[in-house]
Amino acid sequence: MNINIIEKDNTVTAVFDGRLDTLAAQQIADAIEPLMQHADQTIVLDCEKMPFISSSGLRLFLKIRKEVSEKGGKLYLSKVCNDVLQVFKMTKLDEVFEMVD
Amino acid sequence: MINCVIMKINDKNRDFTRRELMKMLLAVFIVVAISLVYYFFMRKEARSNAERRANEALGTTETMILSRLGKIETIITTMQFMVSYSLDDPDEMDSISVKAVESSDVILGAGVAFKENYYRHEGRWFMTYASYDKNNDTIKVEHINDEDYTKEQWYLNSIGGTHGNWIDPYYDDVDGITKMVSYSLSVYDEKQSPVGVIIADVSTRTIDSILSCLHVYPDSYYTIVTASGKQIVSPTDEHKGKCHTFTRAIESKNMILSLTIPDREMYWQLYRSSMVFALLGLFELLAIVFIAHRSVRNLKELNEVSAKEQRMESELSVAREMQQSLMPDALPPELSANVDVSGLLVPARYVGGDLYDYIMHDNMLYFCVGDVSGKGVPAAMLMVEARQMFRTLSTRGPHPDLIMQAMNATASDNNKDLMFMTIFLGVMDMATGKVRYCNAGHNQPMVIRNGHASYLDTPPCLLLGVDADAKYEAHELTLASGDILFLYTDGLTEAENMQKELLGDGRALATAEGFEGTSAELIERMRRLTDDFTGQAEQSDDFTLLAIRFKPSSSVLTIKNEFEELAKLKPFVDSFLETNSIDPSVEPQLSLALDEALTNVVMYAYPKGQTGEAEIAFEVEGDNLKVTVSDHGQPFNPLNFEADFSIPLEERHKGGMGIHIIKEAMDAVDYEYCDNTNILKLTKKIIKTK
Repeated sequence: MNINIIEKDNTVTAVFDGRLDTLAAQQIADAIEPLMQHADQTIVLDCEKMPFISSSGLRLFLKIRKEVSEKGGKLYLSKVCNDVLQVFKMTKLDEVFEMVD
Repeated sequence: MINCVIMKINDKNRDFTRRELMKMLLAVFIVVAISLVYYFFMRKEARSNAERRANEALGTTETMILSRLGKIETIITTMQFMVSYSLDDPDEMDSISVKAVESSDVILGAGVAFKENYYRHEGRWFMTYASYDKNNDTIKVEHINDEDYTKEQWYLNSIGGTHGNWIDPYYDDVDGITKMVSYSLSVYDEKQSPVGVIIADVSTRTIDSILSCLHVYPDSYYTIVTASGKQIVSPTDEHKGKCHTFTRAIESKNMILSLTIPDREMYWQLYRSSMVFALLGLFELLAIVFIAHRSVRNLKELNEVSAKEQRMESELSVAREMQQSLMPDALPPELSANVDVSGLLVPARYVGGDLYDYIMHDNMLYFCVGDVSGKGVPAAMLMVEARQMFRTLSTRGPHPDLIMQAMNATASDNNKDLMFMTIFLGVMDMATGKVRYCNAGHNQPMVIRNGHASYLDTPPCLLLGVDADAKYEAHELTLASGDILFLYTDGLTEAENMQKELLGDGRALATAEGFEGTSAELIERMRRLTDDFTGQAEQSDDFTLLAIRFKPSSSVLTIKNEFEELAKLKPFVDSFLETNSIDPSVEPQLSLALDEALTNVVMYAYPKGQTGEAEIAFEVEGDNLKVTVSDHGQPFNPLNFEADFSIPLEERHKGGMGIHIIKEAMDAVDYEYCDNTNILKLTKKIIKTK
């Protein structure tokens, strides 16, 4: 799992590349710190290249969501693939996160 | 790279030869210089030695000559006295002369010659001369009256003189053979006025006899010359060639005595020792040159040999490197779920050309073991080519016969080097264990089933490289779970021991008999068999083994309680689904459920820092896949911790999401704890693809 963070026009986009399983979620815990610092802005989590997510990954997303809502920013998940969307649905988190294409 | 090595060696050779030549020249120079110095001093020594001996001899000779001549002089002086005394009686002169001749056997003649008109009655000239007549052994006396002897040299020299004179030698008028030398002495009357001259002719024999017995060197000889340069005594056999002459003046007698020593005699000792020395030196030099030459040649040969060896060695190492680079990597874990493959290739030093390879395509394992009949780079090239073809053609489908035909066509095409290759090539269906294979003249592989080993007995086809149109026929074999297909090259069965015995098919078969274990264990067993058999004998051929164990039952994965271990889950799921022909659409859910289940195990089953394991077992039951996750950690029922998703997110308890996901992803989830084991049972509906 690689995470690539791009800042552009007051929007911070984090591109997740790879499986976000439990191991990966642990490994990228520090890599999402810059997102936390921009939690007052618009943050997009690009999931196009993320074929898999586990509950640990979900927790990581929830952590970002919490920070953003506290600081008054906006959070979007973009291009979530079907397999991953199923996991969100299982946990009803598809209702919590705002999904865009 | 090879050329460079040879050039370096050649340069070294040249340097080396030049250096050795310089050393040899120096040795020669030293030997010559020592010889010259030695010769110089020896010659000086020999010369001073010869000088000393010559002077001694000359001294002795002089003394003896003086003594001998002195005797004659004494006789003549006596005669002079008698003549002076008898001047009044001219007749007395005859007897005086006769007495003089009688008194010495070397005085051949003696006489008195008076000055002009001394005895008027005797005529103008009067001379009495007595001489030894050899013919009748008597002494005859003659009177000379008609000859003006006063003009003769002997007369002129001595008349009025105070002492006698030796005058130049001459040959006897009578016989012309006897060489004589004359001694003349003036005669005075009582008034001390000269009246005549006494003359004595002395045979040079008197001196000859002295000289002939005083030889310093065997061929040395004396010469006596008068002041005017006439030889009194001349050598009987004058030496031709280089000579050394030592002289001594006998002043009182107006003579010069000389001793002539032939060069070769004077330096005979020097020459002899020089000759010996030179011979020794020459011998020494020859020895040095010989030894140096030999050692140079040996070193050269050694260098040449080592250059050759190095060339060969580097060629071989290139070939070896090529060969080593061809060895396949171990199958990645996701591909090795149903098969357990191990290979070993031990290259021999000089003969080589073995190859083994395997590759996975579309759940098919393509494998081969081959042996190129050649060595060095060309064999390695053919190997590379064969391997490349094997790899390329494998992607076209599971048809060993077609792959073989294509490889044969390539190997046979323009096979100038006459290199052949035996190869066993097979394709195994990972799901069913069915193997299609084709054997091009290669050793029959072994199949080990339930501990019983046997060789395949299908007839092999022609080896590659002989006939481009040869037909290759494929055969089939189905491996059951746990069966091992064991391939090898003749490096195994023809391994030689010190007694030149071959290991043989029988020993290999006997060793495989009763074997049950992994492919790596079989390889190890065969390697040890060979090592024990060959002992100290050098490995004569490449030694290649390939063992393929079919293990479709491999539906169990054991992982440690570490997060990193979770990475094994997806490959295991993929492999199992593929092997068991299950529609892979269930993979994300299976992987997800397992990730969640095992995350729980890693996080909660064992106390922090304690190592533990979890086992995941798959079992297909009809349309259901049963997954069992078990661990020996603390009793933990995840079902008790499921989050309540009916309440809003913010109000939920932390955690409990994992088990919820598992339940969502799976069709059924059960938990039980028995025998100190947490057992989580998951069930998922599946669709079989075949």
